[in-house]
Amino acid sequence: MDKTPKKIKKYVRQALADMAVRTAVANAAETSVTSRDKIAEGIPYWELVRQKVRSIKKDVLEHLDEYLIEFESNCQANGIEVHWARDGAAAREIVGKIARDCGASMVVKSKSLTTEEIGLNDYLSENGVEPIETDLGECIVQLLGQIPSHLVAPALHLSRQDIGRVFEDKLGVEYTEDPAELTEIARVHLRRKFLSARMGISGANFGIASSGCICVVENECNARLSVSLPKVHVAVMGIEKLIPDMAALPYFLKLLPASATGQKASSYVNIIGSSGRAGSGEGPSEVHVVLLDNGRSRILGDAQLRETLMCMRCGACLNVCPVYRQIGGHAYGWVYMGPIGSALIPQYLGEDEGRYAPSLSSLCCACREICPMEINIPRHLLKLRNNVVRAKKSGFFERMAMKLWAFAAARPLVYRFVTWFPGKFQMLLPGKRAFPAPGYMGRRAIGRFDSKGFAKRFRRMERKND
Amino acid sequence: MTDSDRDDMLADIRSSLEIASDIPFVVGDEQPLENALAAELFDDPQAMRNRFAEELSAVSADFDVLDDRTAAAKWAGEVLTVDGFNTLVVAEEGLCLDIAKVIQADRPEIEIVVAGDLEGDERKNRLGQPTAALVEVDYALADIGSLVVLRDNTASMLPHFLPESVMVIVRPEQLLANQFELIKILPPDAGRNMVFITGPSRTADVEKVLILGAHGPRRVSVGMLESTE
Repeated sequence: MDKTPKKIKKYVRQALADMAVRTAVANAAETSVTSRDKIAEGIPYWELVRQKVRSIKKDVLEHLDEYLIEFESNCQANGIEVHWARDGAAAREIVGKIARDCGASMVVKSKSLTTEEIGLNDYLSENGVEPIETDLGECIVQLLGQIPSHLVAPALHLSRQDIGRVFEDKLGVEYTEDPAELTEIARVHLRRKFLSARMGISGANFGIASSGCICVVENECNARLSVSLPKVHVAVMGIEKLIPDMAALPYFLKLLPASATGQKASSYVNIIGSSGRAGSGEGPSEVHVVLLDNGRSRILGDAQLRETLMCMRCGACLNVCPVYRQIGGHAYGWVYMGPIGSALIPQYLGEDEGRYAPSLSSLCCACREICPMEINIPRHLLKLRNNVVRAKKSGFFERMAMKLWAFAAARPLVYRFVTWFPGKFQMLLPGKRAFPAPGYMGRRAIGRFDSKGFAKRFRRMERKND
Repeated sequence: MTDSDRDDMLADIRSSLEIASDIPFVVGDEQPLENALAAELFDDPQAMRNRFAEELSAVSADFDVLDDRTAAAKWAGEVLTVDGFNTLVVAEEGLCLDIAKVIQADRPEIEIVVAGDLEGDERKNRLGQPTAALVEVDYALADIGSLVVLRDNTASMLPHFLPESVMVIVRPEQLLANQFELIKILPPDAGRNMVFITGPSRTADVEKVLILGAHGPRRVSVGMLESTE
């Protein structure tokens, strides 16, 4: 992956110049929100379920060490091998070793943001193991050498013509732009891979501590085939994905499909709690779960930002975000995007690499409203912006401008002068123009300083009320 | 992985947990939610069945009521004809194989494949070809139109996922209101290997256009068998 959140400004400029992508993303997001709202409105106790899952997840996070030990112990009792990976490198090595040990030269993968987070595909490719993404959207972006542009709809930014061309080019099939034919091409291509792969890799939507099993939610049946046809199944799971027991699962399954894809229920909910039954002749003979930290325990150590570990990766916050709708997912420069991505990027990648990400938000709070876990993303983005400034990772001119503003704002007379003076000076400009602001006004309008400001309007309103 | 990785991770987590959480949440009375869920239960079995049929239709699955095995054989035979398959896969001996044999008696060109009788690679390669399957499930959920398969109750789960057209026999007593009711009655270890199936495999990854049959079945037909006689 050659993208980096350090270049967010460049990616944003590129994204804003691409009207086709902007329109595609905005339309798809609007469709998803409409479907989600319809489902949520049909569940009269939606808010009660939100409260319930929030309290469950809060309890899990606050006793995470205990739940992890319980999960590990029950997995082992079920014959599942549990691996602990402190970071992405450790997780990659674990998965790579399992692939080598089972002699896999090709692995089938179901959609997993966690494996994207650790760059597993690149690592496997570099080590002689061909990773095959089997989710249709993931398959398309893999063929294009791109990263997903949405948490649950990776190829959201591509048109059917784009997909037709990449299939023609990479799979050697006749060009078509018919969605049914494109899906059929992928089905035939990937069915051969499913049947011949020795190893399958998945993520996990949930790990169920008291049962020692994982839950993978999907629509295409590719996850089912990835975890049941090969001899070896490896699931890479963030440590925060645990839920206490099976009784908690239906609450999460009420919220996740509705928030992610606007469905009452996903087509397949796979609960996997052991290797294949002895003598049954199918199912993997080995199941491994890799528990990934990769910065999560550090996030857990922040009393406020800990809440971001509640995220189910449903993508609902992306769909309502006015910023995401304009710039799409690639502008964020990493595998997590949208409002939650803006909060996760600096936490996972550090304040230097992720310094611009928290600014990709208008703080309108639509993300908080729609989040099934009610994560207060705007509050966290403010804190993360603050962290960036405190760590002196913001730009020199930005810091100077803020210092000057802070100086003036704390002194009413100075403030009145510095807001009065440009207004008077601006009157000298012909044609009621605003001050030129190179680099800012390309796609925005800037107001004139001699317009009636808040203070003037407020004083007039007060006089009127008197 | 070494034991030290595990111990280090747990130590990091414990160290982080020494900081008190600032996650606001409402300490809720759970009764309203329990009442709301209780209100979703069905007093009338027919109402529950109607809801199941509606939900199946909403996820593009077919639903029919079958009086007995003869009706089931007729129904499955018609689906086979419509889908154009001459191979019918069943998981194992039992109800579905008996129904398949009734179809075959009338239409000898139909080949019956018993998945449980095939060895691993042969099984997946055979079922990986375009075929239809006739399967049973363990439960059905009315509120979302889901079918529930417990792995340990069947000789093979592949007939549920690999064939292009899957016909599912459900018995009335298997129908439950929702997942909450299912979890209540599941034996402690039974849910550890379980799949919920809700309609055919689907994708909307090409311009949000819904296409059935992404990687799994293109068609799911559910027959509610009133009598196994």
